[in-house]
Amino acid sequence: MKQKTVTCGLAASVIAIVAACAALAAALIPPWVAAAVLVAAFPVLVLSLGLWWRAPGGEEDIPFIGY
Amino acid sequence: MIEYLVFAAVFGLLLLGIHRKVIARIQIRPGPPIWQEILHALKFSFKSTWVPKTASSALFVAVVLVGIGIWSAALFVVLAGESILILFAIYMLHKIVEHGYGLSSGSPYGKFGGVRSVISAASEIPLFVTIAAIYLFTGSLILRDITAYQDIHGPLLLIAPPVALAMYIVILSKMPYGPFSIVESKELVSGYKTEHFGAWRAGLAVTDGLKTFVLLYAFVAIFIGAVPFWAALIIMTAVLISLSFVCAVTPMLSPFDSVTVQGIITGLMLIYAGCLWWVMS
Amino acid sequence: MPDIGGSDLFVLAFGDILHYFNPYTATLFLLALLFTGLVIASRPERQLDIAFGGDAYYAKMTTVSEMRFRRFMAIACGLASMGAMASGDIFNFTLFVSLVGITNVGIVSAVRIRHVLNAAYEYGIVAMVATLPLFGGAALILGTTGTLSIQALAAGGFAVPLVGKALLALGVIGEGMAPFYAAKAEMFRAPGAPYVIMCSLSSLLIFLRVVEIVITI
Repeated sequence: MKQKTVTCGLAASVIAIVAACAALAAALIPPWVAAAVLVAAFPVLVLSLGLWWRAPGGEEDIPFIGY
Repeated sequence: MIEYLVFAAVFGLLLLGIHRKVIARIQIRPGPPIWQEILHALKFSFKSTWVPKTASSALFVAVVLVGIGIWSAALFVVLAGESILILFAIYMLHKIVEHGYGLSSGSPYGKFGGVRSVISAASEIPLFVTIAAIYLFTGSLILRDITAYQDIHGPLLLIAPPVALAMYIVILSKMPYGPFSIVESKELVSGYKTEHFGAWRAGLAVTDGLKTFVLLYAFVAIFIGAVPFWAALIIMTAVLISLSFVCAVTPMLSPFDSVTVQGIITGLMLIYAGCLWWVMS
Repeated sequence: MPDIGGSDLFVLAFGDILHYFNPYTATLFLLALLFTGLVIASRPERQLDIAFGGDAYYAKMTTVSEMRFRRFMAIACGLASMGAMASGDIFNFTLFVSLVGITNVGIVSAVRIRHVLNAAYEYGIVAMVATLPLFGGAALILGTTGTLSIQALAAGGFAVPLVGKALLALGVIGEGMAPFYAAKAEMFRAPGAPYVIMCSLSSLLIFLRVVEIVITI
């Protein structure tokens, strides 16, 4: 995955989560909508954060097949 | 709300760390520090990451997202006091996710982990019996109603101990190093997790943390009722330590024995639920 | 109506036949949708296998025609499971469930490996036999109550026969046997992860839905 894709994913998920939390605090959206946004955005946040710290570096490899 | 997710993931990982520590002390080993699982998750997230050459790449990445997503949803369902049938569905869907982890990479080890996950589906039926029995007592499957019922009648743990035992066994079969954890046993390298490394593995760790927290929290909410949050955390830790004792003193069963034992437990639970239904109707 | 899946979010009624979502069925529907999307988006993995008699290993490939057929069946299976999740009518539910059974046979039987075909054949027989209790259960419920609408039955006033419910559940269990046969087929290492997962997912979803239906009516 390219660094740019990962940065976009990270930015999008952070924005979605902040917006959902802010809108919930301002009582603009019901709690279940905020929960739905978080359920969709939190996995993207976790993975893209990991990938963003250390963007893909290695060569593609075949799975481990034994010693 | 994000703070709930982060807290649940970190506390769940801490519980898994305590689990390892307790097992180690029972087996007279020093064991890793209790925050080891949190460090593991961080460590994996700093590793360089790619998708294996032979993998079905979309599926390989998507199952990690789905895994975190379903347990985040389960956390919100439990916190909001919604239907425990949804929790039941998510618990069973975790099988599909495990299956997906194993199959998507093309690794034979992962594949066998995934296949074992499907054949041990028998471990899910006690949860169904739990739900049926709870419904017989409370007349509802909404967590709010179940807590309200317990406010009047006392904890379900005392009213229907076999039901609590069924859910306890269900949680036990999801614990690492337990008698039923054939899906990640060592002859399969790391079972279904074998090919998910780096950031993918960090995602898996977050899933495991959320899963442990949600299952133990649901156990407290369903069988003990409304308690302050700090008390719930203490009871969860106590339940976890009892699980660690079980895991420490039992060997991992062979896949065939694991399925047989789970099948027998399921049969007993079905008989109990049948008797309960006969008595109550 | 017993409150087990949460209160209704959406109801679409065509006279007696209706479709509805509550939080529970909506969650299941969304997951079926998600995995159908995944089946469309992902290619089958290349399964690594050892060549007996040496240190060599090779990656199994899925041919394009086989992939096309299995993908078609998996998408059909996803659509059928979505239908089964959204339907509020027991007859429609049983139709969708039997469609899930047919497409599951299709997903497994497209692989030209003897053991896999054997597993598909055995599952096909189980699925066919299971349609009898499945439709028989629905027919019994219709015969005794005069309606098949889940909401009408749940509203009360009907004595839904226990044997009807039991036959319905038995039929779904029979149709949902696919993962066990698929696991058996996988033991012989047929690649095609997204499609096999659709097999397991659809079986699980119909099982989860019938639990809700049997408790509700």
